[in-house]
Amino acid sequence: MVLNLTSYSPVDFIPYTREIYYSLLANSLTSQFSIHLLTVFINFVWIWAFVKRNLSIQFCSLALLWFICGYYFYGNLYAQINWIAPKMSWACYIQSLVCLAFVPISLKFRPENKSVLTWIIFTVFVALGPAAIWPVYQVMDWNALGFPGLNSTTLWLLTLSSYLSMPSSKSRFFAMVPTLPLIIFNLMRFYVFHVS
Amino acid sequence: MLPVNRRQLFTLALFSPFLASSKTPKKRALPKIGMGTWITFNIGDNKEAFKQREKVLKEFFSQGGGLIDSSPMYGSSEKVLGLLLPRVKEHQDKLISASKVWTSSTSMGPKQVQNSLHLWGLNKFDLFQVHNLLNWKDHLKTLNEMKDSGKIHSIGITTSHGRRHKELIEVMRTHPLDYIQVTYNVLDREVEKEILPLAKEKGIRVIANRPYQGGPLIKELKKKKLPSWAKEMELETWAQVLLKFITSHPALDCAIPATTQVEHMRENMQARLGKQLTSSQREKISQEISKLWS
Repeated sequence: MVLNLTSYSPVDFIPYTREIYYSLLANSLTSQFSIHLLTVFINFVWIWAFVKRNLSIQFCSLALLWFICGYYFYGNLYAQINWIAPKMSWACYIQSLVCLAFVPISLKFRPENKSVLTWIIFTVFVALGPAAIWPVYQVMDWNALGFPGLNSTTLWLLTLSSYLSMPSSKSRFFAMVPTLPLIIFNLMRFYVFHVS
Repeated sequence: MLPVNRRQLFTLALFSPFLASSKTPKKRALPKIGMGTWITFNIGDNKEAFKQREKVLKEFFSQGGGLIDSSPMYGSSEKVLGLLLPRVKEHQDKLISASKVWTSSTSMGPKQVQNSLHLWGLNKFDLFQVHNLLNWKDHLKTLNEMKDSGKIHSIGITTSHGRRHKELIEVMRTHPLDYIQVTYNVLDREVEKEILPLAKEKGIRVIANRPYQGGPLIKELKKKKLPSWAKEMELETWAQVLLKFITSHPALDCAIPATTQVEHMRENMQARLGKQLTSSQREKISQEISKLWS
């Protein structure tokens, strides 16, 4: 389904209310708890790999998380209420493949010095992310808390941290292009829900 | 001299309307207020919202509603409608079903119509429209074929937010249409210039979407007390003011406000009743609301 995008405004891409969106996340937590548990486990694996400076395991974890995000969240859950969701899942699959491609590349590399920026992003995500993000989103139910594997924005932050740990980080940054549209979309949703 | 006698001529004249109607289906009576489902019925699996929408739908029909408009673009709205319609079986004869084809792929068009029929649980649609003029040339051809085969009663084309009006006018001039759907409300009167007169001239029915500008207009007005000029026109609520303005236009056949609240549905449907407004009353409403809105 190709679109004449000039025929649409931001609200056309968000055809649901904020309450329905959050209840979708909350319902999924109770009905698909095992998937949430799996993503939480993989998040901890990523954190462990980040602390141990093991990039290949980081990218392996990210590949899995992007696949889960694409298949479960965009392809199944979010697709119930948004026509554009199945297209977004393809961005996640491509990002997953890119992360997978970095696994062999990063096998022999061990970051010597952590960049300041990487640690800032990591700290913000782990320590402050949920607390910072959810009051802003005025979440209706804490069951609707999103985390990497379900929420593409926080997963993008994780991915950015790993890429910034690689040598020649500036060029590696372009490996995040597949999911850049998702982040723009999430910002658009924030605009529709909270600003417009 | 024609090779027929007077008796044959008389018989032809007597039966010709019935012969003509096999290709031009009779227009169904259309209540002035219908219901849109953009956002409001896109509720996924939310059980609480489902129960609420059932109440809204029952109120809609019991207050004399008919046309329900949806689209594949509206997420789970068609699926939710399909689940709710059997719960309002007693009202189903009042339903005037309207959906849309929304794909750039010509071959996907018939499949989308079939899918919509399946989701709504219907054998036939009263109205099927080309959504936002997307691939209208091929889809109008498909819809006409489906109309001939009896799957669709009427065909139409839609746009919103004032987009692609020139293209819409071109389609109206060159292709036979039963309906158009456009944005028309007290603040957005663009279609009065050319589209509504053309629709009237061609005998095309007009459905107005975004009667409340997507919602902000009525939310803002409801914060203010209903002025005396509205009461003089026998309008009791802001919903009646805004909807009567639309449906009193001579070329306008139906407005499709969307709501999730039973009370709002009741207010919307009250706009069906009472006298039509005169053109001077409509102008008065337009001026007063423009002042309030600015």
